[in-house]
Amino acid sequence: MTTKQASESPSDVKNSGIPAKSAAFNEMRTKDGLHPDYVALDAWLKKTSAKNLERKHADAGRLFNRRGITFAVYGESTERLIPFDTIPRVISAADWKIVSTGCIQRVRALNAFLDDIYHDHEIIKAGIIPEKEILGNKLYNKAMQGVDVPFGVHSHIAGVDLVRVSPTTWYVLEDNLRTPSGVSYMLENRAAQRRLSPEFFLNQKIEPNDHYGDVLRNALRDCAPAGVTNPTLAIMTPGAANSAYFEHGYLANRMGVYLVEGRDLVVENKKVYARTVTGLEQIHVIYRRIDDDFMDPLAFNKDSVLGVPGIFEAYREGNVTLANAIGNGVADDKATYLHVPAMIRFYLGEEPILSNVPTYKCSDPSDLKYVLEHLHELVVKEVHGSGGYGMLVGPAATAEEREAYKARVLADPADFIAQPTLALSTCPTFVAQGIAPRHVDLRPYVVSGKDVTLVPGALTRVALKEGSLVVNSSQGGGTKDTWVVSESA
Amino acid sequence: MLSRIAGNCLWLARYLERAENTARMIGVAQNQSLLPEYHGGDPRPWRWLVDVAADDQALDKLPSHNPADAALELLIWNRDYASSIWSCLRSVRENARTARSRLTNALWEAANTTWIEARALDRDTVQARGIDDTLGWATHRCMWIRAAIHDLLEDDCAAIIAAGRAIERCDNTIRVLRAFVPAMKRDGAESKKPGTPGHRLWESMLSAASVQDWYRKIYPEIGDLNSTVELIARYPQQPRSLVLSARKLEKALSRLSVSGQTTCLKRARDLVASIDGLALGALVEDPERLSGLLMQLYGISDAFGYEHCGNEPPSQKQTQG
Repeated sequence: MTTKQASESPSDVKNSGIPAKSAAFNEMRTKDGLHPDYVALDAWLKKTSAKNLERKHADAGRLFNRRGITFAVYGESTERLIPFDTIPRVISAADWKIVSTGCIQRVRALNAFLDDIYHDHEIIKAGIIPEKEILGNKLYNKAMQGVDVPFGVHSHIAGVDLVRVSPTTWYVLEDNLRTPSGVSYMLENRAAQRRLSPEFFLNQKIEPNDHYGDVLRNALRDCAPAGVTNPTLAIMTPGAANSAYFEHGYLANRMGVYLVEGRDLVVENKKVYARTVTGLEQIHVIYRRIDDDFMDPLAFNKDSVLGVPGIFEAYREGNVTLANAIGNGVADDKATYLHVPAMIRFYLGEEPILSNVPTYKCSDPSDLKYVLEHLHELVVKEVHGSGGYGMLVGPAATAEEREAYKARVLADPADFIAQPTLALSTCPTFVAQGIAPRHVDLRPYVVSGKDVTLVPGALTRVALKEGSLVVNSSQGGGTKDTWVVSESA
Repeated sequence: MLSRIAGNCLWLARYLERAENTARMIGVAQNQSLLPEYHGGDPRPWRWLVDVAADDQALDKLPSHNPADAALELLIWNRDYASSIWSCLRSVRENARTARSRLTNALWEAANTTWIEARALDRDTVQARGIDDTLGWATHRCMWIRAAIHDLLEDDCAAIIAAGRAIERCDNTIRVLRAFVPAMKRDGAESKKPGTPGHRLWESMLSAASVQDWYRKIYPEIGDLNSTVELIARYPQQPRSLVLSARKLEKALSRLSVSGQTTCLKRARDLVASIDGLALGALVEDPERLSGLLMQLYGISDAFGYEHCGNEPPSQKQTQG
């Protein structure tokens, strides 16, 4: 199986052969009939009544509630469940090989890029990426210049967002190198699916993904400061009010490490300590789920009450490892995204396995003209945006919404990029009307320590509304268990 | 273990114990109120209940007319009162949520599931379900969570939870004695005579202290106040006795004290000595002596918060209660 070559220029966009949304690739039922990997699932669906599916759906809700797999929404007093679809998504071993090797390749290149731009700037000197696009990027953190990190790993945990548009074509939508969330849902979805439908797992070889916590733990231990053989690890959370708090606690539990808030930590003699019941205990590696700006009021946002005064100095001195590193935002914003295929060629000497979505840069006058003339058919995003916020889905927007967005783009074109409206693939999904195809994406989690690896599985997010392409949980999306099926039993 | 999490574990244990104690105490009051000597809306059972399970301010505010309704509202489903069963179970869950990384999944799920069910508690649901069934549910849920606690690693987390439970048990036991000893002296003249109001009051005292299963196995003479006080306060094998709870508290705090010199540990030792030195006859004569033990207990709790949880010094204390 092959994939499309990475597309990078506007002319590629117009000739990219991306199918129209109405022609979305159905992962279960292709034009050639039922996909072989879905045979067992199809048979199960045929013999399972709607009532039984409804019961499983209700059971799943109770199970998730009982386990507290909830997220808080600012301004709401109660916690919410992310809808879980009881019909899993199936990915063949062959497809997974492409996805996993492609993601690993991408993250290796991005880590090399981050280490380079905070040290020798080779990629700029080679003329691959213009200096102003890196050093002038507001997410480039000058304080990181010259900071050495173990194994050159800046992104220990990366969430690579992918969409599929045909049997052979996966596109990378974005690389999340700062604080990608959602991995607990990948793991809990599997646990729920096993409880709800154990028969699936008896009849097929579904690759387990439960070892993610240990993989991450080992990678973080790998990256402990020099000379530390038995590091103390911690996950740093903004606190119980954070929407991802469940995940922070869940991972701390799975990994057997401290779950700390900034107020639990103190810096003395450029070392980081936790306040414990028996006194101060040094912390060597912190998997932090707090944005750069809030990590250290002495180094960054002075108003931050979430961070730890002096922690950045301890980090610069090499006395503590922060995962992910400070300053990764410059590598995962949507302007730098355009250059990832070139990074892969430059740092690894390889051709990209996975393609970028063809992208227009609104900072380019000819691209801008095209974008403004075709707003009704494009998706326009803020360069530094995330979470599905601040974007315009042209085909779904009203004329007024498009006009308002146009004004925003014109006010600061460099802050926007545009992409064709992709026909995200669909999977069978249990909705109020019964079983129906719904658009999905895929987020595998790539873990980097001494080695770069990922467990066989990913978070599949599904747009539950008919026709919707927005899969973000904050925008009404749900999730599915994602199976990598090694072979039929 | 993180100091902040230590506070959560302590309060998880305290609120769990408090919810169970309150459920038991409500059951006692409910049963008493059905007895002929309290017919006609006699407020005494409800006053004893509030005296044990609530604070002095709540007792002062208890209306003389229909105190049952006010007491049940206050202690079962009141959203604003921190010691209602509803609030206690919410606090158990919230503290467990914050401390989740130190707990087992089984403990977290027990606390979370209990809260999911408890949050619907209000006047209507309690009326529809019945008081007895509601209290039985709460008690069983607390026992379930407690069973999950038994599977924790025997480390500092378990020691803090043990300390929290011991503090709350001491507190509850002292309050039971403080409410019922005067009541027995006033209304329990015939406590040794089965079938009398005094005897029934004595039975209520046993139930309030959760020693009804033990008394007759240990003492030959029924209805004896001095023996009852001994069983509740000083009988070292009785799981809720004041002396055993205080010793468990001392043991838990000694596990946390690397130097063996912390103030809270020293105060716990003082408490054990005070209980050992109690003259039971004098206590029966003057139950107000028990208030001194309560003050000692508060002193331990404050010192624990300061020394192990990173709280402000006791004079400016802020607890997670």
